Amino acid sequence: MLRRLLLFLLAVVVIGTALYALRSRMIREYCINPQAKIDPKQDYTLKVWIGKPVLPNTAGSYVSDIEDLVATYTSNYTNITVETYFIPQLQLEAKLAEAIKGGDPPDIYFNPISSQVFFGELQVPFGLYVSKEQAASWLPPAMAQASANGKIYGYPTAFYSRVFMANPARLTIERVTSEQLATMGWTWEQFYTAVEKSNQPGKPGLVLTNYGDPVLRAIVASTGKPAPFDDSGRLLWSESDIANIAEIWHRLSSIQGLPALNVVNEDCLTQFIQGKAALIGPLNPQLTVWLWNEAHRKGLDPVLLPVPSATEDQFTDLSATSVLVFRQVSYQGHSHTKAAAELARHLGEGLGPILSKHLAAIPYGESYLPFGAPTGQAYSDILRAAVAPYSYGPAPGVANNHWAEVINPLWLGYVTGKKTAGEFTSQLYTSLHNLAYAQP
Amino acid sequence: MRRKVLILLVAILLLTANAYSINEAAGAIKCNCDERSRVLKLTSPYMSGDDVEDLQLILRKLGFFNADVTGVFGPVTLAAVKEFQQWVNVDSVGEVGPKTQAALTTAITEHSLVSALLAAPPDGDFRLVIDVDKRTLTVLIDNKPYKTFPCAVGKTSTKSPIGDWAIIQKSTNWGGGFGTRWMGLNVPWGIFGIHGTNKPSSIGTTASGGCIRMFNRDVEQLYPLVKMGTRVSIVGPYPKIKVNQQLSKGQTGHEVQQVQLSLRDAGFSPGFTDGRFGNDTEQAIKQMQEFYGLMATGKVDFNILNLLRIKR
Repeated sequence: MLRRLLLFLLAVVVIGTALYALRSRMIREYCINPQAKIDPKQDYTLKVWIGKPVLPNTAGSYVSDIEDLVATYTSNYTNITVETYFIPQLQLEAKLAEAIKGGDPPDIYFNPISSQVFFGELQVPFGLYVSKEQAASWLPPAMAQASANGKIYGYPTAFYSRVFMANPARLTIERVTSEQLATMGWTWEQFYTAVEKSNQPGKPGLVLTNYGDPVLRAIVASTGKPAPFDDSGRLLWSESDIANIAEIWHRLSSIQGLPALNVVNEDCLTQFIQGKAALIGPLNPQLTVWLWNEAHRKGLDPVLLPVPSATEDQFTDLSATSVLVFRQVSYQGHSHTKAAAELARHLGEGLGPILSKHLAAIPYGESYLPFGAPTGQAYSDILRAAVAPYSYGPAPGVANNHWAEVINPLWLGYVTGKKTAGEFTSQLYTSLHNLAYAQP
Repeated sequence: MRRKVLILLVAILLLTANAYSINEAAGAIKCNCDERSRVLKLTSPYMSGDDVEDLQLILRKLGFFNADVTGVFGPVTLAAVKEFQQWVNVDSVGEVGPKTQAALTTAITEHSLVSALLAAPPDGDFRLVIDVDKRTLTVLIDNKPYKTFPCAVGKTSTKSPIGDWAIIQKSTNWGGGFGTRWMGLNVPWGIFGIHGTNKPSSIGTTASGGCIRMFNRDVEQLYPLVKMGTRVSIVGPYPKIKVNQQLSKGQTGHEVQQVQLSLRDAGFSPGFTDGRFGNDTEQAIKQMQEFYGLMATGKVDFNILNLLRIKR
């Protein structure tokens, strides 16, 4: 009996050891050792995918600026070859989705426009390579927008702001100056009042540059929930959140004395530059810089104001971009991933000024302050950026279609009067609910 | 012995005859040389001979002499010589001396080379570029200059249409001021083309009503190589046009071309700068509107004119 028991225990130990060894082996294939060193005797080839957006006049130097940045990395590592591919922006996410599906994504991926930071299990949690001190030095919005599911997945490079521009000589605000508003932020209630009081015959209190996607995104960012889904695909917007979004537009478009806001304003820039309009927006970085310079040229002294907040927490519309690291299904080893992470860090630190130069983004990093009046002022808004990702779930190239295919058509239907607020709210909620990967 | 003397005599005779014939030959060459080196000009009576016939043949091949080759230097030959001399910048006196002879030799050599080259140009993207400042028409193959011809362009009051055009019409013998060949361009605001001329002295100047004039001989070389749809760029300073209206797809004219030009300057791609508001231009406008966060209508409104800094 004792012998049998001993044999049984021995069998258990043998099987247990074998399973443990097998598990360790399996885990080794998918785990990452951030302590690994780059082996100077080993040759590495790193693939980098960079999105190439429409860049008037500067596309050539955008490419060469980034190539120069990569070259400063390879000059330190003669055994590392970096293959950089510039992919047209419109194809970028679809190509990544395809590569992930095939198990062979690039080592480094950088989308200069999008804030999406999480793309599934082949992505390397970049936080493994970030020291506690460095993580602590990142501003909360930067940390939040580079993270998903409680892990840091990207190295923040730059922010994109959406702002309003005011002509202080025309804007009537109670109790505070427009300069104070620029640093304090404001609510939609203050916004409605200011527009109403600034309205004069032939001189509108507000002109909109767009009543479609940009104004919708500005409004939803102001609620603190800039994306409808979290990184696991769970629906974040409730029906009342959507009703709140509809209400903001309703209040805005009901302001007495304003020209219709749901019609394309074909001369809004002149109306502001000639000092007629008190406020113009929403402005993306490119238009902000152009209008800022043009307004000054015409003798105006404009002020940038953040998108008003829908909550007391003063959220404004600022989205971040980050450099991401991937591994392949056929894992190339810890030192390869380490080399990729080092390159990601190098790019993350250097891409901010390049994006600032070519896309008027706000580079992340104090060493770049101040960076021209418009971006410098918007930089102060970073602290008001939503501590929530501007992302759209875990499936790139597919999940983001909901903005173009679901949200925008319903929004345009609402703002142009083809749908009531109630219809917009219920239809959008139902559509998003059906799209959600995980039910709340 | 008698036999030996006979052989010797025959040998002497043969040698003498040979020497005579060599001398005769040498004398003939010398004589011909003298004759060829004479200065050809209009005389009374008219000069005639093989050298005049050669001159007429060369001038004819070069496109300056269109009459029958007679070997007689008459007033028609004189006019052709003067026209040639003007073309090559030799004193236009109508006499064919050493300088004109040398110019004729160079021209005919180049002409033969060009004819041979143009007869079978290499494969590749074939297009024409006309530089109104230099007054040249250059054949480009795969964007590399292949052959350049002199031409005349529009006067200050009737400027040639700057822009990107296409050949939409080909015909021969329009005659008169249009010379022997006509290749029409798709300019939306008038009839313009590349053609020959009956005023060859105008080539190299600003003389036309906007068309591109070439020597007949040049346009005749070019004509068979140009197909319907061949792209033609006329480059030069664009006139500054004010745009006083909003523009949309389907419209044509100077204002559309101004927008296309400004879009290109701003780094967008509106397609050809041809004054036609088509799909490419609409797409470029939409891209620009999206870039600046405006409603992507694809129409040129006052916001776009502002951003492009086009006066209105």
